Amino acid sequence: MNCRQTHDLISAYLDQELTGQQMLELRAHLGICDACAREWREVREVRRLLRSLVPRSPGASAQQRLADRLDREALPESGLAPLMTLLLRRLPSPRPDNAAPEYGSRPRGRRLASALVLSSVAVLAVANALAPPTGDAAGRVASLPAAPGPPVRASLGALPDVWTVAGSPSRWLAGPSAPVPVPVQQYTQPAARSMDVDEPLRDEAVSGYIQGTLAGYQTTADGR
Amino acid sequence: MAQWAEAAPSPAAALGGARDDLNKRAEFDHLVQRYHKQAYNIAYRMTGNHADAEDLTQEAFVRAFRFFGNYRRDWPFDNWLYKIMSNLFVDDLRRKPKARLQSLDQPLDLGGRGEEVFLEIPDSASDPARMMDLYELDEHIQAALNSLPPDFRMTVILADMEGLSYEEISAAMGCSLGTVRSRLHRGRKLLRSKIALFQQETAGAGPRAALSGPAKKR
Repeated sequence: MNCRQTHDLISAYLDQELTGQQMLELRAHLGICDACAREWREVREVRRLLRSLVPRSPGASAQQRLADRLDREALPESGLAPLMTLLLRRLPSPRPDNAAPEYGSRPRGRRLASALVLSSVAVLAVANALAPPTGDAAGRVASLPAAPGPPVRASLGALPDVWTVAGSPSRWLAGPSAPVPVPVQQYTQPAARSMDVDEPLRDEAVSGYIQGTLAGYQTTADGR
Repeated sequence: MAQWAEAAPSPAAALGGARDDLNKRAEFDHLVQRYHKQAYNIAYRMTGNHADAEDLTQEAFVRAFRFFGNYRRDWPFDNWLYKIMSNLFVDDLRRKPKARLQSLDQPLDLGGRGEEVFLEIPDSASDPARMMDLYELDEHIQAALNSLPPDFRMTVILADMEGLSYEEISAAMGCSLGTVRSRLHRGRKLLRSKIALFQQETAGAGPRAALSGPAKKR
């Protein structure tokens, strides 16, 4: 492996995203090439710096503003169902147990909301009973365009491409009737990987350089 | 008439549909609770300021909510959200005429100095006397991030701040593994050069920035 072949591979080496053979070849090259070994150290430092940044936090009311926006999002196109949803949100049942109380929780007007829900349902039923038939009740849902997804990856599958359906009608009535559990990942700061790509190289040339550098830092820190 | 009446949803059915929507909203609220802070941090690093970060975060969640019916439940929600956020950010930049966009095909512009500037970033553990003030360092890193092309910036953020694998980044950004690898490495190198330049401008050739020329490649 020469310097041209190591192009773009050094970061992947640090991130353990190379094959075993590539890892071995790149390690051997870093042991004999000062320029690439230097680049490896520099990229490693940048990665360390980025990982050390303190996460930025949103303002205290940012989530409430988002909840308000989602409430408004439910209103425009979908008739009574989202209205009833908004009203039902004032009823006590659906909030997940572990949800923070400040997000989207508004206890005001529950009695009024309940009355409006019941009257809305009655109006909806009467209106539909008097309206001419529109065919298969499921036809409107079935006619919605399916979202074409990107090619399915071998191990991960495809993310739904939301951009291809940007102009499609509201899906308020089209979703599955029962919510499916969503896989969630606990947010933690990514820990530094422990493989020896972060350790000094065993090759004498690079290892010697690093040891010398560390010794210099140590001398400075000790004030000697 | 009787047939029409049969086609109409009963009050109970209508209420059930609303309850389904309510359940979806509750499920989405749970995801907002889980990922809002994380998404905001990414948005901040992408935009470089709080106001734009909140706008980007909010818009990404609203889009996700709007198309929640299309969301595949076997995929981590945060990866899907990052895809939305990435597209929103790039699209927003494209709409701004003064935004500086850099093609992936163009060589990276380091102001003609990047190849000559290398920075020995001090190790805070072994040399506290040379450690840069953390706030100042954060500002320099953020300024360097702001200077990256958006695709490079998002790739670096997802890899180094969120710890996503190359395959996850590839799926979230809709590009190949090779592109992820290239953007990440070039992004890190460009970041390093930019940080060095900012530090050089701030502290001159003072003790915080130890600059040296590049070694010759074989």
